[in-house]
Amino acid sequence: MKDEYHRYTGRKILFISLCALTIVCAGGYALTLGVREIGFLETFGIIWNHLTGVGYDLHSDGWWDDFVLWEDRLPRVVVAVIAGAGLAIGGAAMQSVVKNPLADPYTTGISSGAVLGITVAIVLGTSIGSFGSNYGMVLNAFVFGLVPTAVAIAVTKMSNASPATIILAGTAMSYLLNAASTLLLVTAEAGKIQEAFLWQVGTLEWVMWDDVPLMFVITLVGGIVLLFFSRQLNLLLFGDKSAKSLGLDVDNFRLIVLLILSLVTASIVSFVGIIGFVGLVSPHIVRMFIGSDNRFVIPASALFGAAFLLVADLIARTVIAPGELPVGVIMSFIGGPIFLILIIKSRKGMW
Amino acid sequence: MASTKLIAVAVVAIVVVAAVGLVLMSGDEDSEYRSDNDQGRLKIFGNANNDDYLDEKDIEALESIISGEMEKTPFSDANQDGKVNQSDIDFVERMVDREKMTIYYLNNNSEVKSCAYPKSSVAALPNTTLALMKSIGATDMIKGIPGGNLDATMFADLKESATVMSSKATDIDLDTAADEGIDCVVVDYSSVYLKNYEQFEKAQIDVIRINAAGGLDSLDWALTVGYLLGLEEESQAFVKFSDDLLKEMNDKLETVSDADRVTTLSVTMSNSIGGIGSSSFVTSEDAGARNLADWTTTTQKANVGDEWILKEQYSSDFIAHTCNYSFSTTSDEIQEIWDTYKVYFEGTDAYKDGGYFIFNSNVPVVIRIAYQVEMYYPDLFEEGYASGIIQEWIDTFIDNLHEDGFTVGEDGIFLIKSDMVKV
Repeated sequence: MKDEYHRYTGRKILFISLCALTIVCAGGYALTLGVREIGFLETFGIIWNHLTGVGYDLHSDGWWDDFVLWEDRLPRVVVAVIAGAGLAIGGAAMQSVVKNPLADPYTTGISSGAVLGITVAIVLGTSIGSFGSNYGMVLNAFVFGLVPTAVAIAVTKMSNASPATIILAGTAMSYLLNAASTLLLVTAEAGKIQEAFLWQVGTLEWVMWDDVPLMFVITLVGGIVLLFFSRQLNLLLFGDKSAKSLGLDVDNFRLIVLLILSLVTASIVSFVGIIGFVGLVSPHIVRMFIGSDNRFVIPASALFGAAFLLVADLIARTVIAPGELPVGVIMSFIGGPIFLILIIKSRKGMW
Repeated sequence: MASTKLIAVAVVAIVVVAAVGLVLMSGDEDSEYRSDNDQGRLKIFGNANNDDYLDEKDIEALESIISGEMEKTPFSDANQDGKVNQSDIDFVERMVDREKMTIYYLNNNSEVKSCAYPKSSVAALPNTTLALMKSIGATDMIKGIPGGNLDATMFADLKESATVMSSKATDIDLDTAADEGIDCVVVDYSSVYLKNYEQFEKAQIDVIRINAAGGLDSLDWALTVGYLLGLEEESQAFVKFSDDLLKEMNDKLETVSDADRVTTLSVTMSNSIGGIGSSSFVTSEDAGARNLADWTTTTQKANVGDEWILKEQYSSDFIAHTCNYSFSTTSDEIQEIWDTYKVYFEGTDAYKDGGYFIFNSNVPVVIRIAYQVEMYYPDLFEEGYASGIIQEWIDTFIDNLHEDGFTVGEDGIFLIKSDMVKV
């Protein structure tokens, strides 16, 4: 029994270490990609020099290495890590909270809401806050992304329904919002359709440092809160009745978690568009290696999701180089088959 | 008698010298040319008298403004310190001397931007901007072009000499631009292009947003970019070419009475009809037509089966469709282009009466107007009028096509009319 516990613990440590190592290696390799040749180890040196305030002459080789790495390449890696982690945490928590293996952060219709927000900004030129600016578009996506969640929560509250109702309400909202987006795009010019399309498939190509703070803060705080709630999430796995008998206010707890998830997901979708399967697949794979205890599933999912999205983005950038594919497309190509394999191989005891 | 002979010789000598002088003066007409436009087309701060030039006359204008004899003008605050005073005169004197310095200009988004003058290594996008750049003699300075399908005929020289700096038609890769030493990107004003412009600006690579595909204001950008690139003479030659043609067309159009003005709708892309204020709308009105579009949004689509375009109020004599197609389009290919686009308009009166026509959009605005005047007023503008102008533009400004002996009509068809295809 003790040996088995040690093996189980060792497997957790190994899995988490491998995810962390993958993030460092894939991230380091991603930093070398580009016309300007910067070696794998050199990238870490340049980052260190930047952090320690080493200066260069304007437009000298050192200046350009630092600039290209810091301003062009590093934001993409950082955003991939944050978005991957946030979506995977969202998936893990969502699957626990609605007790459904098919749930992911988009289940409540957040993605469709965010896309409608972006479409409204692009096609009608109407945005909340900074009119017409990129930040206005992001704010649109964020606010519109929260609307379907609010509706799903309201429906669940009004009908006092089961967790499955959340998914059904989210699905209904998704159809409604997708129809609204399509209606707007039917009358739009080709250039605007193309711009809106990029949000629908998800890409990390245009991310910058400006995109990081909001996404990072919301994901970090959301992740910490969810980790704090992990014991309660574990209770939900035993069913609502059991959780209630153990003193959990199930309905209110579920609403709080949904709200946190929606905020985290909307903050990510607003900047990078819809990147599917990270939230769906990552928790499943993590559970295969370290079990269903959310105290470990949530942080491990964060690391796995970050590594998963980084690797997918590397593939997206290299498969048709010098061109690149939206990472959302690559993620669907990888995530779809993996999910099918997981379904076929899954053991009943996992849920 | 001798004195009479002397007087006769002197008179003859004076007449000959005067005649030679006159001949020389008339032969030097181009170099003496000076545009009288005072609409502030040259959007460089320091252009205090609002003309097409940055010269001593701007210093005189500044002196008049400072002394109160003249009102402030839009570009009189040369150094952008919020005041017009002696420091602006000092600043403009340096500009007149063409010193290397930071100057200020107004971009197409009406933003005041600073820019290191002059530029030497440029990337430009999209195709309409590149066409304008070639027209002002900037071909040799263009070191970076976007990916996508740039016309293989028009841009054959750039495809050889410049580096493709992105896999997309809408962007330039910062990494590549840095590697090639690009110091400036000239790009369309639409936010679709150069999404990561902030990174370029952080890297101190100037981003100059212009509207090369617009109406007559594209001439503003020819002058302004020409100045920023140190290509003033070349850009002014192109603007003179355009101004002369516009004057020629306007002189003839002035003879058309309001009652005789034709009506039209103007189409861009596949089926987007330009509304009031759109560049295609304005260009059609510049060509002397009355555009029947009565909506103020930029464009309105005419989808197959739409009823709205068949309404009486939109029943026009012509439908002018500006399209992006290859310079090397020959008679074998025009039917395919026609069939692609006719589906949206074949129910209209204009189409049924032979008033629908398609023309190549990748040419300067003056040529886009010329296509239309030729179609609208055949009594005033002979058949082939626009083709002649395109040929002149190519022979004067587009070196690679001129050197290849490109002949409009044979090597490329720019105007597709109903009598050239199976309707």
